[in-house]
Amino acid sequence: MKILLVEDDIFYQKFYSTKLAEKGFEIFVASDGEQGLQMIEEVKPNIILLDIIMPKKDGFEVLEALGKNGTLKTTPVLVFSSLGGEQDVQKALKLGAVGFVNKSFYDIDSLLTKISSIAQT
Amino acid sequence: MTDLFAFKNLYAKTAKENMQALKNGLVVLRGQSDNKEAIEQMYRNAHTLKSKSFLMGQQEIGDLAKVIEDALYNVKNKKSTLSQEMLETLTNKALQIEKLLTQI
Repeated sequence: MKILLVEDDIFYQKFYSTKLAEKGFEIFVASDGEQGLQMIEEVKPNIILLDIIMPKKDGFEVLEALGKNGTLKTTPVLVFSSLGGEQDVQKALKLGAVGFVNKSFYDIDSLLTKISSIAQT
Repeated sequence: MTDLFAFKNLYAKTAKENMQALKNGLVVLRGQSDNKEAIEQMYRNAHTLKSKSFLMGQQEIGDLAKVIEDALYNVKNKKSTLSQEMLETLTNKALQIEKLLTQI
C-alpha cells in the first residue's frame, strides 16, 4: 500500500516514514503543499497523510484543491497534525478529510488501526 | 522509549534549526514589527518545535514553544499586536529553549 506523507518538517518526515516503512508500507514524502499536490498526481497513493501548517500551500488549501480536482472521491486523506483544536479538525473534515491524527502523540498501533480502517472503506 | 531514542539526534538537530529560525525572525521583528512573512515563518517553526518536543518527551521545551506559538498565532490573526513587551517575552522564552536544547 502506498502512503504519501505531506509534511514539511524533516524530523517528522524521517520519524513517521521509518515507522510506517517498518510496517511494510511504501512511503513517499512531499515537503510542502505544492509538492504534495504534484506528487499525488505522480504517485497515486492509496492514502494521504496531510500536515496542516506548511509553507507554500497549507493543508487546508491542499484539501480544497483535492476536492476541486476530484481526488478526494478516490483517495482518502488523514489529517496529520498537532493542530488539534476542534475548530481546525472540523474545518479539515468539512473540506473532505476522513479523519485526524495528532502527530505529537506517537502511537503506532492507533495510527495503523486508522490507516487499516480507512483502507477498507 | 527505545523507539524514540533512535531519533534523539535528529530531534536535537532540527529543533536547533527551528530555534535559529525563531531567533532570525526576532531580529527582523525588532526592526519591523508588522513583517507578516517573519511572523508566519516564526509561527510555523514554533508550532513544529512544540509538536515534536511533546512527541520526544521534552515537555518543558514544548511548553515554552507553545507560549511563542500562541502569541504569534494571535498576532498573525490580528487578535493582538506585537508590543515591545511581547517581543521581550518571546526573546526570553527563546533563550530558555536554547539553553534547554544544549542539555539534550
